Amino acid sequence: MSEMIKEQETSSEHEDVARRRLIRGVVALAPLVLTLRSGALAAASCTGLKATANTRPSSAARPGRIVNATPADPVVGDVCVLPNELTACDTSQTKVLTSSNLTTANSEPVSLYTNPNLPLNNNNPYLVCGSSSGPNPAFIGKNNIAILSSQSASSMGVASGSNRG
Amino acid sequence: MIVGDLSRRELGKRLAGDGLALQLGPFNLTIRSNLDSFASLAHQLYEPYPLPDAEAISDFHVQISAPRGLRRWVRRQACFGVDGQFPFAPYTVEHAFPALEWGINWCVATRAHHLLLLHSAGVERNGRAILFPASPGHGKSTLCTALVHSGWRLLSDEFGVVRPEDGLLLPLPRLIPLKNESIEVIRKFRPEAIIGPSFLETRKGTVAHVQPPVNSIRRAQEPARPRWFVFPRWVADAPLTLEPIPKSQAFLMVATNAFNYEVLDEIAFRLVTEMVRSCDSYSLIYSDLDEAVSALDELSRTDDV
Amino acid sequence: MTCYTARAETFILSPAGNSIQWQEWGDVHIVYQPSSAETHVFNETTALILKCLKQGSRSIQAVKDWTENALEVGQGDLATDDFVFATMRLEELGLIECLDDASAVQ
Repeated sequence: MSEMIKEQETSSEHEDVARRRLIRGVVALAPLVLTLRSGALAAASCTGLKATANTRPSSAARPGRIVNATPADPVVGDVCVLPNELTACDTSQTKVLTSSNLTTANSEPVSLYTNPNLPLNNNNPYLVCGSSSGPNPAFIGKNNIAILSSQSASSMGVASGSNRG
Repeated sequence: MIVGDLSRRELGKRLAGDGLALQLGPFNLTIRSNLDSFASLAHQLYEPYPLPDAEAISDFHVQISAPRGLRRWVRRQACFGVDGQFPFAPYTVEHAFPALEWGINWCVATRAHHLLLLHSAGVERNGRAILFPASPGHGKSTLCTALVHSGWRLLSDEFGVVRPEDGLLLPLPRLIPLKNESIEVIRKFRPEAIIGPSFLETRKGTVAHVQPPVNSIRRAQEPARPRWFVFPRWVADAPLTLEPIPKSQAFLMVATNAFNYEVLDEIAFRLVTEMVRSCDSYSLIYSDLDEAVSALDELSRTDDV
Repeated sequence: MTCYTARAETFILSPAGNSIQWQEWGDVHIVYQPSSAETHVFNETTALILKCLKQGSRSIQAVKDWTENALEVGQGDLATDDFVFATMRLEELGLIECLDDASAVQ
């Protein structure tokens, strides 16, 4: 039974790892400001959306391609989030609560995908929400996908695409 | 003198009259009731609890009584009152006993602001206490019941009562309410445990009250030093894990689980800081009570080395 | 009046910000603010923002540059938007103050 009781981590390296398993935002460099409220830690912290975008439907020539991104263009390393997964914290809906429940199930990294069925040109490869192997089907043909910068996504507890196993 | 020294008749007379004075850890209560069914159960389950001295001041004057009017006789109800006020909707008369127990919880949680009140179970052995801060439904009452029937002293199953002057835990060894399947779990775990009747279809499902071991009640004036925070969670069929958690996480989980953290502001901040700094903190996931009790027994022995 | 829409404005630590009680738990800072009786949770970056402003008034960009240096990351690695929002939040909490142009010059 004693092997089940792990010793308190005392070395600084172990402490670093342990601390980084905590509260969302510890790993991330984006500043975190939360205020304690009875029964919960109030998410008084927002982060800005980099953009909102649509993705082409499966019937399109480039299924899953990120299009109509506004106000900024996404880049590889940004993170796509499915519609309605993030809670807005301002009326313009340009900022979202860092306590929004972001997981690997509702988010995907922005990745450059080369579609083998198309000739290589300016529109191939193209950016998708998924991996270099292709778009995540859950992100194909969606409107109003949120695009977060990798720093913002990290502050909410989601690893960027380059860090995913 | 204890409740058991009173005859059933005398107990009923006091409840129906000026009130039955009862000492529950750091609090003195006066309980009144005009319900015979309540008096019988109180005589049984409160039997080992001490009566305070005659001149002692009561912290709360509570009652559980039939209302006036039709509901005294038809589809009978019981109303919880404190200091002459009736803050809750009536209960069915069959639920009078749990209603009073919940009402006492409410009194403590909303009024005892000279103390820091953590939402936590607590047990003690060899002068060191484990606190189990936990949200409802995570199994802390069941685990607490198992522990106090396995050699640990009950401090409380609901309130971690912290005295600000010295950070010590004050025992509040009240009846432990078990819910639904937990009742049968404990009956099997410890057949000798004294468990009151099951109250069906309450607002929290089926509820039954476990009388703590007499030793816990007799030592209710003996504070304890907190030594461990264990955040328990019962998960069906899960292998037992007892893992250290970072102190910052422990701080936030303790603070957000306190009844009156915001009321006590800086005092609470200081107390929780001191407690978390001086205690080791663990997450416990378990599915088997015997395993959980053994793991916590072994944890407590690590200090003996 | 808040400055969060004006990235060029300067900020300084307020008296309330100067009086907060810090407890450091590794990378996490849990602080008590006596002026509001609130408990806040900051990460290292937020703590550095306040530390920077404790030294004197700074613009958001200057705070960001200083913080990036302290965190040993490249200039421009951190998102300016995040700093704007954090300073807005810290100002809402009363921990920092925005200086108007006259005060900034002084």
